[in-house]
Amino acid sequence: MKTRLIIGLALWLTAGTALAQGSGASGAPSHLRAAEEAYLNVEFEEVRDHALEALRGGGLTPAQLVRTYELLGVANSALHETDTARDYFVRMLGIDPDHELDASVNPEMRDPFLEARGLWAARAGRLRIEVGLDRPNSALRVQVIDPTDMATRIRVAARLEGDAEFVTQEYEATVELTAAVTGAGSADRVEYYVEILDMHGNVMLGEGSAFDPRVVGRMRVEGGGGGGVTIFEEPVFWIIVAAVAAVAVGVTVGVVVDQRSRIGIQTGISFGVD
Amino acid sequence: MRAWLIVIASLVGGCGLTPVEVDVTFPREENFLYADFGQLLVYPVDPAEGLGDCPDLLDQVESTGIGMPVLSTDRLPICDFRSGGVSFGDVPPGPHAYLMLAYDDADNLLLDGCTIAEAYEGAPAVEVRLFPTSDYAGAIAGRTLTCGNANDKCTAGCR
Repeated sequence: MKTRLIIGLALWLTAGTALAQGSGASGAPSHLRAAEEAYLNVEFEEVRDHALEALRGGGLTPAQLVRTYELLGVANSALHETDTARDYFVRMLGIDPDHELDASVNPEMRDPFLEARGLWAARAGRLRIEVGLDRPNSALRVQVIDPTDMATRIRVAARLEGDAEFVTQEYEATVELTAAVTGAGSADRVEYYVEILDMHGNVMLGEGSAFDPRVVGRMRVEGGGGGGVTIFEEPVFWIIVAAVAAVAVGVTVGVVVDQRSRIGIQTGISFGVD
Repeated sequence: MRAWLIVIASLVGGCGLTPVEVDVTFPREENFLYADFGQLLVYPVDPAEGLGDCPDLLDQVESTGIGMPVLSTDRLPICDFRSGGVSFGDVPPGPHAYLMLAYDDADNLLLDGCTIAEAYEGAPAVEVRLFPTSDYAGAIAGRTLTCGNANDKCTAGCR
């Protein structure tokens, strides 16, 4: 108990403020806010309990989910549950491989994190989403790369460009899925956002959002209007340019050669003697 | 970039023709004073067999006219032929016959001359020596020169 108090006090003095600043707690679910509060108060058991509630409650954004796993990892580490702590850090890094613990976190508590990072270093790939337009099937083709094995559902929201409402559908997580979008076969562009959800309904990764959707389809060309290919993309244009350039070079060389061989005459008059 | 500069420099440098002087020599200054107009003609000649064409060309010009020269000036005031006053370009390579004709204002051919030469870059001047034609004596008979020398003729307009 005494050791726990010392570790907790050290955390509070060194890392607590920094972690709280990086938590993005404003707007977070109540359990996550409570976990942050407990973390500032160095109550690691409360941190763990509230963070677990936040996790199980679902609806977390990717940033909130990463933060929740971080709190769970640090709390379990502080509570000497190192294996559990490592597992939470593994999940955290699966969602955000670049995430770093604050440098002021007690070194003793960082071991599970470093262990988790080493585990990910041996794995290839990272969580990501790729989306393409499948015109023949009037659908979006969604590929999910999930090295974490935590994805359980895929939420796909799509609308034809210009439509007001997204049509949202959820699918069982799979490597590739086809999400039907009415009218996509003939539409110029389709706006969408895709979310990968974990077993609790938290968003592990989002590609676009309702307010900032991604676009797939025929890309607009700056100033082009109409979405067609520009003249610079036409092979004929470049063939003509090359032909004109070749002729110009030929004419130039010809003129140079011709000029060098040109001889003119000019007259003068003199007087001799018979 | 450098290659283009060389091409452009060559082009600019090559814009001017390489001039070869045609020196028209009158027997005497007096003959020049009687002449009012001149015409310079260039004829092709066969490099192997045409190097002696001048007499025939002169006979042809005096009898039937100038024929088909490859280059020809207009009939110009004789003073224009002084000091590079008449020029033309693009003399084809190879030997050519250079004919000079000098007329009076009554269209009599007073003097003519011919020489075979080749104009090329760095070539020496083409010298065309004029000689009085058979019409010369009759044409100047009774004429009185008012100019004392070529300079007066070409600057004061006297005859």
